[in-house]
Amino acid sequence: MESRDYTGEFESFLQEKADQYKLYPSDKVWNAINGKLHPRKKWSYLFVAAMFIGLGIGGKVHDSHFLQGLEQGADIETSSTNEFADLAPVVPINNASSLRKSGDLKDPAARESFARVNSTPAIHEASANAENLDLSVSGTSAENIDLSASTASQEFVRVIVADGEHHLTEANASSEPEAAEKIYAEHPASSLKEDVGNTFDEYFEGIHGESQRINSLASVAGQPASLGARDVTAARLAAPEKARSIKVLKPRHVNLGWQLYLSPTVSYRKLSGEGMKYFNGMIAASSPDVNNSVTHKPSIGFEVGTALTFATGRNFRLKTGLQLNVNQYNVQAFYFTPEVAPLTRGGIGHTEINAISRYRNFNGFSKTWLTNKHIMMSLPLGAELTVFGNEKVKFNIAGTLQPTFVLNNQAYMISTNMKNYAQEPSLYRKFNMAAGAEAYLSIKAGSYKWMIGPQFRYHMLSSYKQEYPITEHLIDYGFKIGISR
Amino acid sequence: MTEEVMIHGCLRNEAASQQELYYRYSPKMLSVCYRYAKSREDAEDMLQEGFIKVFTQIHQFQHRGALEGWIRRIIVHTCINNLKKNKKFSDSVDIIHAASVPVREENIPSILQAKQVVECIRILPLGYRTVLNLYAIEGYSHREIADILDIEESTSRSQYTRAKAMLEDILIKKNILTKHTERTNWLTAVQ
Repeated sequence: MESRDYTGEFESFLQEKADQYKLYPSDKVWNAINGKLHPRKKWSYLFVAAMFIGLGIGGKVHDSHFLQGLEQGADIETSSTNEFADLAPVVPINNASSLRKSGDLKDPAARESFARVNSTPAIHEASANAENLDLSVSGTSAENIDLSASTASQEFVRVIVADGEHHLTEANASSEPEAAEKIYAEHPASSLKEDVGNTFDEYFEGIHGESQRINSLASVAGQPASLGARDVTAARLAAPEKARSIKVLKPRHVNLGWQLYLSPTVSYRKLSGEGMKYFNGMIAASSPDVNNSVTHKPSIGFEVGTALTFATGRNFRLKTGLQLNVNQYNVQAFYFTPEVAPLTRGGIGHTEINAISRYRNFNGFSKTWLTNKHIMMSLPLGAELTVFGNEKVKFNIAGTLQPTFVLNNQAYMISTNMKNYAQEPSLYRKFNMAAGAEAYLSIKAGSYKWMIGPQFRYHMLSSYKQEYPITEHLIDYGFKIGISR
Repeated sequence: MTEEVMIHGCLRNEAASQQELYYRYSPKMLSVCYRYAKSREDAEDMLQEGFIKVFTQIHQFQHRGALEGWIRRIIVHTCINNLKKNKKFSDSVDIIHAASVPVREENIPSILQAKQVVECIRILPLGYRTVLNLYAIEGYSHREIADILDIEESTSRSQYTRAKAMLEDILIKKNILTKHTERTNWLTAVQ
């Protein structure tokens, strides 16, 4: 810039007045500048968003697998019914004495297994690897046993007893007709009748083991496995007096559930501690008690999260998940020219930390409200209990411990002489531990449940490190709205 | 933190040093922006853009003059570019006809005389205000102003003369100045 020859009285007057005039920009200006200069901070938000999306998708996938399993179970039932209808008619006989004895089997283990198989008087059907192999041995006996063994992933087992015919179809196992005939040669009709009265749960639990044993029997008998789908008439067992059909649909006991929730919150804080009584040889504040020196008011924040629950009992569930909390409150301050704000007590053996502040706690140019904002990520670990309720509405209580990582802290700390507000990130605590408690109603709506109810969250550790003599515990009161499955 | 330490910190892109520099100079620079801008919000936008330039170009600071002057020039150029970009300047740069623009008699809160003076400057039409800011307060010559604003040097001179006369009238009406008998030395601030 070139120098000007003339600066008159008027220009000097304007320059002087213009230089005297100062305006204090709002905090958003610096936040925007800082965000522009240090954009890496945004990655933490992206990471959090990705985590939430991942958990959400995970929960959805889990849910869809569950639904898929239900559908498969329904298909199995239908197809199996048709399959049985297509079976060649089996002539029932009532004379069990014509059956060969299990003693024909040389191996004791084989005999034991045989006995167990034959004591299963039902038709167990399921699908395993989309392959059902029927083992049925043609013979003179009046019984077919089809066992369709399910792998662990099968959702349903259907147990059918029809017309005294017991079909045992085994998945992934087969046997030569002769061997199978040996296996099924003997079957006491009396045991069949007794077993019909047994609970089907026992069959469900034992069915996989039974199919394994049939495999071993086949191998004991020296027969090659995997013969493909072939019918082997094993034996005929005595038919019950009366034809009957029993169908049991037993859903797999699903322990896992998920929750997705959002809670508007009102944020408070609990302050304690004392500042300096004297600063630079002068009385620092009329009252060093911080609660007498600050004016603050709550503000609105929110909590959003997702959780996985694991039912360990009928009314008790463990839960964990991922949660984002935004907590904020306002403190009253006044604009002032920049000045030094002490943030530690100092003294011998203590590090003194000072900050430059342009906000006064009192007696400044003009009043403003500073917003102290905390963005936190936490991992709630806790439990839920259903206290009472019916199928439609239940009352639940829950408690969690929440290890918390503070992603972003835009807090103004009151100086230890109670005179200024300043930001000093080196005194912010990054990790905290929060405790959460809530009571909510779960209302069933279709296949989902709505969750509504009050909640409370308290930071057990101060927001600031120990060097700062004033402790601040954040408190959130919220109203939870969520869905669960 | 000394200015030297602060500048070195800014060169290393350290947030603490940048924040220190910002807090030290932003009040004065915002008042600069405010004199050019249409509103406080526009002024803050200009300040934000200007300080981002300051931090990204601080390696160009040669230590030949005061840091504040260097920052101020960046801020002023940012304000001018912003006005040009938003066409706010060209819309009102009908400086030649600006004399006929009626001056709004705003009710200025009189807390400090400096604030009153700045507010009076802001009453001027944008074209007048810009030339007056650049010449009377920032100290640019008419030739430089002509280059910056893409106008003729003579235009800058005439606009400044009119802006000055208009501002004098406003300041007298606001009782900030008293009128003397001779035009050349009649400006006296009311104490």
